[in-house]
Amino acid sequence: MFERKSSKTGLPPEAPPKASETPPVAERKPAPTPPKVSEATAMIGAKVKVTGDIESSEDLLIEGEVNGTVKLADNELVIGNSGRVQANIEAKTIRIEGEVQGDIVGQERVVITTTGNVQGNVSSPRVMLEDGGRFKGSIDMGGPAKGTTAQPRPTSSTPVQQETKPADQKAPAHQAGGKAG
Amino acid sequence: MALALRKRQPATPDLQSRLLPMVLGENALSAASHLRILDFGRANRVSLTFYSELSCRLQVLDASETLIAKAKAIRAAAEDDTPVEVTADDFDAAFPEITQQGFDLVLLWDMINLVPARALPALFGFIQRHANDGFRGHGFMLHKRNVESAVRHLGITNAATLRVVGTDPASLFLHSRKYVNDCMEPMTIDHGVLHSDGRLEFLFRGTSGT
Repeated sequence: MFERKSSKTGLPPEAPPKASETPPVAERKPAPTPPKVSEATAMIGAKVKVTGDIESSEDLLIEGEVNGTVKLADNELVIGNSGRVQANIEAKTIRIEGEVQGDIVGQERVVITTTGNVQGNVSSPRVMLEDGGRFKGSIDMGGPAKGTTAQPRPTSSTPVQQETKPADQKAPAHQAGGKAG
Repeated sequence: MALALRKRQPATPDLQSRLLPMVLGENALSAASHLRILDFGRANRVSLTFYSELSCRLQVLDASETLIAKAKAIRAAAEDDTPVEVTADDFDAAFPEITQQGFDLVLLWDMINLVPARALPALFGFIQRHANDGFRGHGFMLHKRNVESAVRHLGITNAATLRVVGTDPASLFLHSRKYVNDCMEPMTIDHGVLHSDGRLEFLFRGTSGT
């Protein structure tokens, strides 16, 4: 069910051997290279359908269909182009190139790419949406200290007529009502 | 090379807003705590970048396709002489993803122009149902028939500047300020700016902010 994607375990560039260490040509053997576990990625293939809970302590690429929950403790989750996930998902970083319906918790960041389509609630310190990516749902934004960046840039170029009632100008949106939360 | 790159710049110039700074400008935000924003528009990179600088909870409805379909159904029913009654419950059913209440700010963008006049009271009933008493709302009302038949998807570059990040062809409905104001009772339109493209940018508010 789980296929392992070829990990990036190519040989490291060999340093030129010192003259004193150089073995005769006939005795040279390639140095054994241990697999880099951190670069290994488990994969759910495009024709695989999983129903249930998935927990992983390594990176995971989903190209198939998953219904249930997906939880990666400290790793990256990628929903590939052909991936279709109906699940609440949680991971350190989440990259969505396919479709997701469910709540998403990204401990570091969530990226919805140009082919991504998400319906659900997202909670993450950083949420990025690439041009063309679709999102429908809610996002909790922490943001910096209030009022530090949303600078108004008044201009008089486009509007041709103003029908402003001055009496209301001193009551911006959020002062007016009994906000919850 | 430089010339070629210049030609790829978006043709649509940014829009300037005099009203959004009243609800998203520095002064407004400095008085706000964690904002709850209901955005009828389509999520886009430009707006998310802006929102990410705020302390807010953002609900994105991406309502255009749903509203276009609803308008078609209403129009078809009217052509068949079928009595059409649209209620706030219909909008609740159309947008089941809204599970929370108490929005402080409602951003309609162009979406009000996708709603037939007879359905406007229901739309505002739906909004009032999910918003704070003293919430603020913003939108663009099609005032004159000299606008392309397309709904714009707008991104917020900053509180006073909007960017058209996309358009979809759609039949738009003209609305008058007076009719819309009557429809949203007890909410009221308290600011309006007529733009040169025939759209009236407006701010409205809930009941207890007066």
